[in-house]
Amino acid sequence: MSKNNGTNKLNRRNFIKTAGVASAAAGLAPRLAFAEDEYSDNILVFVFQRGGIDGLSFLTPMDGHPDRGHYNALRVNGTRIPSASLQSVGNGWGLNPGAAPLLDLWSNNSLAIVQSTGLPWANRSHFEAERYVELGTPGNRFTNTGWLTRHLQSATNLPDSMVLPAVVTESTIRYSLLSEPTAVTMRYPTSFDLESSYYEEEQEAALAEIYDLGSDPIDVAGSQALAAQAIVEAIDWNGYVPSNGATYPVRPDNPDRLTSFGEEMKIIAQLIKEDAQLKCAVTDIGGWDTHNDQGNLPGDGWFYNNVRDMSEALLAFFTDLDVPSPNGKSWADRTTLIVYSEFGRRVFDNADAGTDHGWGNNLLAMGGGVNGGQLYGDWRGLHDDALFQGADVWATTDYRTVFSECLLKRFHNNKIHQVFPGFTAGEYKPLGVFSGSLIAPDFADPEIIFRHGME
Amino acid sequence: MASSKSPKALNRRGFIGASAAAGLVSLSSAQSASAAKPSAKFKKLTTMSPAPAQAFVSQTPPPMAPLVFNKAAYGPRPGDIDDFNALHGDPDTALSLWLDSQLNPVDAADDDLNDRLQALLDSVDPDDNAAYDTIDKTSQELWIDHARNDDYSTRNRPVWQMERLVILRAAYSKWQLREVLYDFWFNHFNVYGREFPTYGMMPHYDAVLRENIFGNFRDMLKSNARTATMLYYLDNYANTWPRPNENYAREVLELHTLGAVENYYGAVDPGTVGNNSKGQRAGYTEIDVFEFAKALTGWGVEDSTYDAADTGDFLFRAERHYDDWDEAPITVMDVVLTGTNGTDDVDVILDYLADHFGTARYIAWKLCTRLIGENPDPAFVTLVAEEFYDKRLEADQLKQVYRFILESDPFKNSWGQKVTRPVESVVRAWRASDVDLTFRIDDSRSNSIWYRLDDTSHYPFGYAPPTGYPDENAFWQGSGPLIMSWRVITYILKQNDIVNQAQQTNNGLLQANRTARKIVQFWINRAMGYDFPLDVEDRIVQYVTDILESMDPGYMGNYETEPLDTFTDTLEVTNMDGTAKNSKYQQIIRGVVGLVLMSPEALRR
Repeated sequence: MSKNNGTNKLNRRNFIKTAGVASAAAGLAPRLAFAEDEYSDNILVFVFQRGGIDGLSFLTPMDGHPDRGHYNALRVNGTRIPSASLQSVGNGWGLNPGAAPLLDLWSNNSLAIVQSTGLPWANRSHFEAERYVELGTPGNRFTNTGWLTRHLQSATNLPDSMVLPAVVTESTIRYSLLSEPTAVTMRYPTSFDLESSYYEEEQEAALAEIYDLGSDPIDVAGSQALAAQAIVEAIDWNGYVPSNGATYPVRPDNPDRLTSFGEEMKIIAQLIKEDAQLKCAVTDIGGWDTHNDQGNLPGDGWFYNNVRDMSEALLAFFTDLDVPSPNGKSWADRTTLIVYSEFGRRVFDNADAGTDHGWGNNLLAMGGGVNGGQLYGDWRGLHDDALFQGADVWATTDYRTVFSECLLKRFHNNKIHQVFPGFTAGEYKPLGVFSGSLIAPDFADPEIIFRHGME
Repeated sequence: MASSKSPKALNRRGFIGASAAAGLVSLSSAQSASAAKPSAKFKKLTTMSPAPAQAFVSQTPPPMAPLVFNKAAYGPRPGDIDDFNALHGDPDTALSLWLDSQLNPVDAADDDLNDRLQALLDSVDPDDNAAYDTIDKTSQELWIDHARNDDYSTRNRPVWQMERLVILRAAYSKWQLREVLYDFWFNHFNVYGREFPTYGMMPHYDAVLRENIFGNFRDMLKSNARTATMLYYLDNYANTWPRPNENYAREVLELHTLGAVENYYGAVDPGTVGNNSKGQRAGYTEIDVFEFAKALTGWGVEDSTYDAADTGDFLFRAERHYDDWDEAPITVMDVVLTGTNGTDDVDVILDYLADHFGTARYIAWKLCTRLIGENPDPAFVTLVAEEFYDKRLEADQLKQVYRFILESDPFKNSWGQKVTRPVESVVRAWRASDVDLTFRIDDSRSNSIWYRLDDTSHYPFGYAPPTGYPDENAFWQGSGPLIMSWRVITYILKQNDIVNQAQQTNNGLLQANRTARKIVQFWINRAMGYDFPLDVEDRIVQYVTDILESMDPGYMGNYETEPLDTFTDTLEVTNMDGTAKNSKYQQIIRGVVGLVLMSPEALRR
């Protein structure tokens, strides 16, 4: 049993007290000081589309675009979207009809789409690709922290202590926040409670103190969980009314209940407006692995319905946040949201009216500080020579470029070498997706951050 | 509410400043105008600590019996530890004897489980009679009666029953090791329970897996590949020539056999992949995935398509199988197929994969991760792999591999390397507190427990992607899994009539010995089988004495050492009608049991 009993074991408290030396040994850059600034107030929301969304069915070349002919020749088995059904965003591109709600954000310049992004090389395994994206270390699947974990660790403008800085609206952690001790994983806030009854206070007090007695990872985890529970309990979840009439999407078979993604975005919106110092939120929207019967069009199309659910929820989210916050800006202006997926899908469809795994894909950036209303990225086209292995959209922008630009401009965290170790200055080619004062990125050699456990 | 003591002195930035301890955000005056202050209602502060937080800290191992029952079983029931120790005075020998028995389970001897199922059949309640009425159906019956049924309840009945049967077995089966291994293999060959045809076919899928747990991996792989469940889940039923669907081919290589951890070479020329130590092509590439998909074309289900009957049986459609042999053979790593041999085309490849050392290494690593801990010693994993590989032609290959792992020093020294996942925490609590409930459908108490288990996101057949539930501590140490697991446990403990903790205490302790201290020790020993650290035990005792003191403040005696009869009627365990009494005594004890079962020790395995 881990205790301060003089044996050669890691004691967290002692470790922290001698932070200067010990934390360097563990590879954490000791921060000698921090200073909050206007960027400390900003919030990053990361939405992961699980399964590899078919980017070509989300943003599609219309008639008149040079690739429309290729598109028509590639999408022959029930996945082609007629040009007339697409919602134009200019330059010959159109959004899937399900994304109509996003046009509001597009036209007020709050939505930017970066095309042809991806991992630095094609990896068509969900399992591998999503790990690489979220851990932020393509090629290294054993990294034990996520990119957002390292962002929170390395940012110099965040306070020492925050109430609820990181939340995942799922029941278990996501790789983006792997090993972040303050991350609260919570899918149903009103159920996030021990519900012990009879001497509940005495029992919970005892349990919290018991976890405080120890200092190994399980003790820390328990302490954090109980503290998180107290905070979540203090919020009035049932009494929440979205602002500005924001309408989150409801389930088709149960209109009294929001869709799963709708629920999750509403939880995040409420948490942001609770002013609980939320800095990062991570959530998923699933159902994108459309190998069969993709259904790109209205009339019970699976993909269409999923796009619609996502789009309605995202519009509602920003509508809901469009109220003033204590620092004078609206919450919407303080919140930047990135939507991403592990890969795109093959340019040609398969015999089952679906699509298989591919590579290059769209990245959506929305909200505060986004130079929206534009497409970014180097789209090479759909002709055979432009494709990877004649099958996939080529990823011409490393996704880390966009994520880094976001951290730099919106959060003023320039410790790119810590957040994305191995990502070099030469690979960072910002596209101007985000606005914010320039701060020079720091690509200096990282200290050793990754371990498989402290020795 | 958690205590209002000052927050832990853990601080993300490594600085324990007075301001952090007091729970305020430190703001310099210059920034106060632009920085936000949290709402006043948040008095509590979550202080932070730097990552990584999941480092394993070596633990003093408990004695052999609790070690084995928590790592190779779902936790001890009262009496299990004594029975284990009675096998032999030497712990290593006791372990060996325990394994002799557990590795050779006899269904007919599974008394408690069998009696419970029989009691349902004998019940006067028709719901109970039918509570498990699909689990022994044949695969054709399941297909026709359930998978193909339009009615929502009818088609889902088998998966609903199986979800509960898995928990029931874990709680009550004598063959605990088999249940632990079943969970491992189910996750290895994961399918999602709530889609066609799995919701109707689950009893059959389950049976096919279980048949091979102590046999040979090759048989497990080949029988699994023929199930309608797997053929649909990973789309191979729709894998036809000339437009193949590679989903299943990919996952067999990536998840079921070689694994992508060491053996996936990506989009490279297979000719550039060297050989492993056994002279086999070391790993697979994207080309091998595609070639394997070609070989798998035509493997499907007798599901009424293409003029077939509708039975749900495996069906090979030769006319949908690859037939471009004049153009090119099929080459999957070292296997070259030059002409169709019906289903042998695939079986040859599956045999090759079952014989592949890469498969041995991948499965060895996964088994060690499950039974021992994260990041198992690579040298030991190699030894396990060699055992797997050496015994690959033997009918009891897997039995030998499990024994190899479980009798090893790495296993015996691995206490605390894993954190329990929600189902494991809940079943451990169930067994430790001797809950008496035959978990089943159409029973309101079972349903209430089920909903809460559902909220932990860790319930049987509930993981949609083929990777199965993660086996990494980082996932299960999060606030969500912990709070939601504890919520299930507290709920179960409140059900006095099926878990009369006061009665159990009285059965275990003479009245004079029912002191706060001894009651706490009784439950620690009963639930865990070894002593807790003294400070933890002290704090649980204090929970009791604080309550007693609040009932009778100013009493000059000793709350800790005087029997609880002095303060509350400890004989109040049942009502006049024999049902459990929800007395103060019961409530206090419930708090003790809860603290024991939610303590850090209860999360270790």
